[in-house]
Amino acid sequence: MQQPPSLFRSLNKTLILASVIPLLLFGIFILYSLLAGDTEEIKQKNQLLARVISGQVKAELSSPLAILDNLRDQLEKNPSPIPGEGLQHLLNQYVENQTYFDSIYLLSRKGRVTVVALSSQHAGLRENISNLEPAHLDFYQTAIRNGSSTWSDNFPSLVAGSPSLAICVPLLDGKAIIGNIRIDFLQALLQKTGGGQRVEISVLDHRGDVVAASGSYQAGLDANLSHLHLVQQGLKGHDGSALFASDGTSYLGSVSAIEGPGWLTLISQPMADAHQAVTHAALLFGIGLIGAVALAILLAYFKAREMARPFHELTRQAEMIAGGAYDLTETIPQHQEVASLFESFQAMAAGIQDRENALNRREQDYRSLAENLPAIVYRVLIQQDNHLILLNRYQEKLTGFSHEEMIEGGTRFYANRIHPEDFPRTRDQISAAVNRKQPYNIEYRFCHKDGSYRHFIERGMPIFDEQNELCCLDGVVFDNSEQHCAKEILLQTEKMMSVGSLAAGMAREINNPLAGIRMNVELINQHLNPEHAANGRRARECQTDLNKVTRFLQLSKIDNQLNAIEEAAGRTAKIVDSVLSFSHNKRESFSECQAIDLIEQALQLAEQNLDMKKGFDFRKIKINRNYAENIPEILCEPDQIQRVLLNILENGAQAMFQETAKLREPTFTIAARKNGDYLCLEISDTGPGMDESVRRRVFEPFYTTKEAGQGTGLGLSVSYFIISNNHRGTISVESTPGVGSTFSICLPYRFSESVDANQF
Amino acid sequence: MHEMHVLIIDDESSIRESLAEFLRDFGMVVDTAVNAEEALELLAEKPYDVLIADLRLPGMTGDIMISKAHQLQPNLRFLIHTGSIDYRLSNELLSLGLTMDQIILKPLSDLTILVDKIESLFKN
Repeated sequence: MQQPPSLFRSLNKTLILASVIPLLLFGIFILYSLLAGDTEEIKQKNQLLARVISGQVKAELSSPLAILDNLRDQLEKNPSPIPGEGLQHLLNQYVENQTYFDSIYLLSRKGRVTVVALSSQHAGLRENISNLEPAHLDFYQTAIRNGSSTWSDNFPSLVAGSPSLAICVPLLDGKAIIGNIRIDFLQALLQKTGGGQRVEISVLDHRGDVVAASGSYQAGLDANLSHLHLVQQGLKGHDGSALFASDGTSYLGSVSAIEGPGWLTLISQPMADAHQAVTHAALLFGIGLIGAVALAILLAYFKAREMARPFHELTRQAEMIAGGAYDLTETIPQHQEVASLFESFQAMAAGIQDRENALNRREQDYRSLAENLPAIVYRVLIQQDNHLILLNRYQEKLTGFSHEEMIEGGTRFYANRIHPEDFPRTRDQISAAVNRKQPYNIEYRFCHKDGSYRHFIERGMPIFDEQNELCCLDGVVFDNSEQHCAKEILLQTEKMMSVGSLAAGMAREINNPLAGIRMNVELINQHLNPEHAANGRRARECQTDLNKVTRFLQLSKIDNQLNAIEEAAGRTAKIVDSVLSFSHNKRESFSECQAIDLIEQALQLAEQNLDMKKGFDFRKIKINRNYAENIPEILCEPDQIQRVLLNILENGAQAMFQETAKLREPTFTIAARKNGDYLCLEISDTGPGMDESVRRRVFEPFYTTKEAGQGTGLGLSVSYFIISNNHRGTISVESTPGVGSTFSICLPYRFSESVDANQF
Repeated sequence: MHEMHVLIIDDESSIRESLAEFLRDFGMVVDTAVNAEEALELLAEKPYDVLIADLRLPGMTGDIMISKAHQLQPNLRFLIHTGSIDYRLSNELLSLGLTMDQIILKPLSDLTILVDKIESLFKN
């Protein structure tokens, strides 16, 4: 696109046109009328001059004529012929007393020169005259014929050598007088008259030859101007003016007839010269025009600059606005229209600034909101190769990876870090949601950069474009690890509580029949006591010898059996008691114990309790001890702790004696060490281990991998309760299938807060 | 010494009957009841010296029964035979003059203690 012309150029053009055109028109008009008038004026002036000069010439020429007339009169008056010498003398007198003629001739009737009188200047040319034969000359013949004075045409005088004229005055007797006039005087006259004029004055004879001319007449004295119409008309007697051209120059000519010789005065003025005033005027106009143009350009320049200034200013302001700066300085407008434009600009800048501020504020709000959201907010651009967009930087907190790492790794990277057990499920859930065009709500474990697994909740939805194609997945990811843990703990606690109440309820229920058993055993013992009075009485009643009865019973080992019953009942009571006891958390039963002692006692108990009947021999198990030095005593309920240790050892022993474990030597590795504020015990076995799904549930009440009837699955849940609730410690297990399991118990050295009594 | 009349209340028959037999061997006259209602009926009919009761009873609880029993027979002595380790006497029972000594925990391993306790009830 071509650049439009500048303001200056346009203005220039306009102003120049504006100044030039009227000037030109006006000028042309004026000049034309001037010219016309001028021409008329000049014509008239020249005409007048021509007439004047004609008059003058005529007047001048009348003098020599008068002289000849005088001579004629003198000759005619004289009745007798004057002798030749007298004639000569007379003529000489006349010639001498005048300045016009350079020679006067007297001619015979036949036309032969009889007497010649020459002026003294030309006396030396006498002999040439004798050869003159004026009889052939036209003017002589005309004079004789007409009987009047006749001027001759212009001819070069033999006498003078310069242009001359002759007058032939016929006498009554047929003779004639001819006078030769040098017409230099005419020249002088013309010079004198026309000296001050800028015109060329010329006198033409009746043939049209130039007889005399003033100044520097270009044509020259020998020119013949009879070809000019003007001259022709003038010679006919029509005075007038006309334009004629000569030698390429245009002249204004005015003619006036000179009576007498029938000559013509011609005033010629070169047109250019004639119209000098007009030319001057035109020149002035021209200068004025140039001046006007220059002025116009100058004005245009300054005005353009001035007019452009608001544009420049507005351009600058527009650039400022474009650049985001809205603080426009006030400029003083030069014109009303510009003023309103400036105002509009100010208003526009203010408006834009307000809107921009509002937008910025809103953007700030959104941005800070986005930044503050405690979640990963993402968009997966399905149609752009699953490119990932993250709204904020929270992913760093959640996953440990930087923004760049996440974006670069993309969805593939993320998916790879989902726990392999959870990934198929999450993938299927998302697919299903996409198919049904519904949001998805998934939970999974995610491997943090530090290698640990966090529990994530992800909620998202598939977004479809106008062609109903899947275009992106938008969603949020929360870290739910704490709540998840808390939930699990809560679940555990609830289970524990249910175990607790179950245990307590059961214990109480068992207590009654148990009491019944024991009391009846006691009763039977009493009834078998030979020393008891009532027995004696009853024996006598049935006529039995109590001693024999006693002996009989002894042989049957009744008392042994009764003891066995009592023992069994007693053990049952103990079990019930212990179950009941762990639900009561009386501080009073706590005491300072050495953990290592508790472990060793538990090992001993294990040896005693776990015997061949259960399919294994505890004594075959190798025990590795790894006790740290200087383990301080812990405050605990020793029976409960021992119960927990026994439980773990029992489980471990059973595991190690399973089929798969028989390839390796059954070994317990027991470690005890201080860990900050806690005493930590670790019991590792070389059993088959557990996979994750079992490991997670091992402390669950009633959860057991053993066959039905092989155990209630309560042991570890009770242990969990004892450690975590009663002792405010932690118990956990790690396991590697094929290698073994390790139970870790950590007990605090001190209880900082008071321990709750009876939880049930 | 006159014969001791004892009323035993327990919903567990093995406990109830063995206790009764035991005391009979010591020359006491023992009646039994399975619940509070039955006990109160009996109390309304004959005088007893001692009431041995388990407090966890079907229907009316032992607490209320003891109160009613006291109303029926103000001279009645009470022994509470309970399985709850941390049983506490209610204010009402305390106001009746019961003390911790009168609480026997199940299971009683040595029933002769029961005999001693009964006797001690009448020592003052």
